[in-house]
Amino acid sequence: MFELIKNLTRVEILTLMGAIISAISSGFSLHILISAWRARRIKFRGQAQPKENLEPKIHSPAATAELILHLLLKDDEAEAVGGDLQERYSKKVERFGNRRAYIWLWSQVLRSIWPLVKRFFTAGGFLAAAEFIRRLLS
Amino acid sequence: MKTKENIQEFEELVLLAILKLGTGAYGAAIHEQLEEAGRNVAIGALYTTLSRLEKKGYISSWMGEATAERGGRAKKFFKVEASGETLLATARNYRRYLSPDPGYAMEGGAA
Repeated sequence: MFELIKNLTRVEILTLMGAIISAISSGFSLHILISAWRARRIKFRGQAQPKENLEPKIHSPAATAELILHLLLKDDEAEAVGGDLQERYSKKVERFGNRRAYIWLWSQVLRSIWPLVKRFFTAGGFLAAAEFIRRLLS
Repeated sequence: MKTKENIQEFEELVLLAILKLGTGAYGAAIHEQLEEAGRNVAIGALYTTLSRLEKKGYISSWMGEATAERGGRAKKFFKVEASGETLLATARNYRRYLSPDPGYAMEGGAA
């Protein structure tokens, strides 16, 4: 796989990366739509149920959000950032509710992408691109 | 008053937040501290800055123990090194020296 990536031309790598970014964006949109639909269902069902049954004690941030950050972070950082997001997300849920916490979480992830991508590629150039593709495929 | 290194404003804020938090300076706490100070920054941008500061030798880090409230993930703690404190002091001196406000300049002179 690595040999194949090394033999690609610059244009081919850029096209491949464009395709990956498009796929991730489509995944985002689908995930957000499904989550919004689920949130509506929970809210609707929640009208007839006591509030404590609706909110679990441990609030887990979206797995997709963590996966995106994991692709761009070093392993020890990925663990720490995942934990930090979980901790802050739980506090936000308790303070502002699920909806605002969810928006906060995704705003954090989306706003984190550019600085992390910049660091990722300035540090290693095309080798970093190959590493990104390797992580994506593994 | 010459120094080889320059410090960006956000880097300075991060160093100050770590100093303020002392032994409890880990990612989420620093992020919260900055948010309370009115700097709403993405966690990815914060970690990019922390990693840059660590590479320059201004801070050091170590992994803590995993906790249940973080889904079994460990905290990454940070500490400002002596070079970081020197850099902060230099930045503060520049401000005091160049400040047109005499009160601020005097406060610097007294410290």
